[in-house]
Amino acid sequence: MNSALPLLSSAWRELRVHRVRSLLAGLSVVIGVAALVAVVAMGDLGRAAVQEQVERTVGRPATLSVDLTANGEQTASRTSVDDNAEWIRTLGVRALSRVESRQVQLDAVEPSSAGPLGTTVMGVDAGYGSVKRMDLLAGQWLPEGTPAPWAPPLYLNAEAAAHFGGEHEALGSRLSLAADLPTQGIVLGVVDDSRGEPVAYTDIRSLRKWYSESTAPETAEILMTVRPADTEQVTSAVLHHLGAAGLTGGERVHRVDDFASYERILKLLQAVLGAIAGISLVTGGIGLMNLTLSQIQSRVHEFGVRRAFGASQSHIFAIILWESVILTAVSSLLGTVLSAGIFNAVLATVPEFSGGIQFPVTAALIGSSAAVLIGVASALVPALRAARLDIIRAIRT
Amino acid sequence: MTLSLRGVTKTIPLGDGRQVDLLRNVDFELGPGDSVSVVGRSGSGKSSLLNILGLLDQPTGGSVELDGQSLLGLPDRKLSMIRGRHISFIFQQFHLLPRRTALENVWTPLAHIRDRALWRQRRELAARALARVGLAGKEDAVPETLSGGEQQRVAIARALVHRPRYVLADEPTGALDGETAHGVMDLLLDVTRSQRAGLVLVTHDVQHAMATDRQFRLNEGTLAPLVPEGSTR
Ligand SMILES: Nc1ncnc2c1ncn2[C@@H]1O[C@H](COP(=O)(O)OP(=O)(O)OP(=O)(O)O)[C@@H](O)[C@H]1O
Ligand SMILES: [Mg+2]
Repeated sequence: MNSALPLLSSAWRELRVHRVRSLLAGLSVVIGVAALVAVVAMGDLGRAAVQEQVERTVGRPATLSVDLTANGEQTASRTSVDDNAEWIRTLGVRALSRVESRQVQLDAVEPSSAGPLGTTVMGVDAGYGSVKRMDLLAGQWLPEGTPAPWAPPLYLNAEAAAHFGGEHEALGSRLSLAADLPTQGIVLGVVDDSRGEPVAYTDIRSLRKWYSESTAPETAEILMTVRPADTEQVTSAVLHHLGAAGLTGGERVHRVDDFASYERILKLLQAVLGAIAGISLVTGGIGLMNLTLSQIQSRVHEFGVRRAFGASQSHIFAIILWESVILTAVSSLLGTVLSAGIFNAVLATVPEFSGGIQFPVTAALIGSSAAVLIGVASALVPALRAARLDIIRAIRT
Repeated sequence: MTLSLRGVTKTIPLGDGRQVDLLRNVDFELGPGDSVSVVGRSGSGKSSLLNILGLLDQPTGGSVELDGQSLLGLPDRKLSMIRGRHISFIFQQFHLLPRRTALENVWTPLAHIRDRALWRQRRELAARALARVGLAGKEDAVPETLSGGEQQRVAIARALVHRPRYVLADEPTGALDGETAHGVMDLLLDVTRSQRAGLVLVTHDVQHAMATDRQFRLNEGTLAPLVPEGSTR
């Protein structure tokens, strides 16, 4: 039909003639859409924060721990750990690390004001850095697949590094370990592992040289990350393999990242926030309907005049609908741009999450289309009324 | 190209449940370029007659015809289209749209004619129409800032911008003082004549009525040729 262009243009002009009303109605849409986006972004941010914390402390999804302790032993034997680790690698897991931990005193070799530090030392494989989420603060992390280093490497977490003067001071310094075989190591890297207590990481092959096999470590296990969908399959394969070697009983393989329990809380949170956003949209919609109805009352004369000059009932209907669509669409766009700006500004204040979350485009789209739909819905009744006005009486008002 | 009424009757309810015939068996014809005036007492039904002729209202009986084709029963879309293209109004109270500029007011009819070319030319057409009624330079003025005479001239420009066949003017000078009224009336007659638009003029002023080709009086629901004062029949 040839009539869309004049109608659109007239609708736009009428919105500007009724500036105050348009601004008010538009504002409610802008706020509604921005609120929806903010609420969803808050949910995403909370989720990213919780997920990151889980990944740092217990591992990425899905992280499995394998307990190889035989009957009568305190911890698993080195050969059992090595052999099983080698076998499990053939399953094609995402990341895997043998882990052995002991308590030790660390002390600076060069005279310094920092006294000795009682800490956990963990012998790991390079894959440990992939199983858990760690950020490298300085230096480097254990390289993959190199021969056992002759100079024992040490990787301190932030808490341990702080004891030795901070990450940059600690990097490159030589520390003595009061192991069975007293030894010295060089700090090659500092990581953030979010543990909250000092930890020194080292190559598991080095750690084993400093202790005789008869002194049992505190823990000895295999940690690995598999695709969440593969969890059950890998678990049963490993259990089967262990059972064949006589390692039965107990919970030999278990998932350590219980993100699922957080997930439930997050879902609840998101549902609550979503309900709030929904209510704000509905409230905005009712306000919009109210505004549209009251403006029809004040525009009866105009519609009467337009009818006299050739506007059909459907023209009047279309003008009001178009006005509402344009108003809500433009306001939604504004609301989206506004909330994107605020989103980026807020995100800039928490750079540690910036990688994990993105502007909730879907929420913005849903909010915008909902706003336009509400705009259309709220304009339907007023538009119908205006279209059915008695022309003569309308002109006389 | 004739707009006509055939045996039109309009019955209206009185408040007390009785009815009264405002128009009785009215026959009327308006050809292109015709100019006709209608006089009558207040309340005699002149505006009602114009509303029916202008397709703003439905008669109780009889028919409204364009070129012999009855327009009764046509859907709103068709009626609106005919009204928008061929029939224009000038009201006693001007009925301009407030807060829209003179130019925008003048192009109102172009927004509702389904003709894209006309819509694209709306600025030139409206500006030309405004210049024609002597309001060049007032394009951006809103009605609130214009005098009564100027507002009615904007209304005349609006009524003629799309070159309708018929212009129905209901006491167009009724709200204006004597001198302004004469100026507006001269302009109205001049513009409709130069566009060869048929004009129906409802007026109380016999002098204005005499400026049209034919004169009628509406009395007791009946439309009859106006008999000059003093003559007997
Ligand atoms: N739809 C209607 N319902 C009830 N009464 C009506 C209706 N239309 C017109 N009337 C009445 O009919 C009478 C004539 O009205 P109309 O406006 O046609 O007269 P008029 O000749 O134009 O008068 P004036 O010179 O004062 O403008 C008035 O009393 C009016 O109230
Ligand atoms: Mg009247």
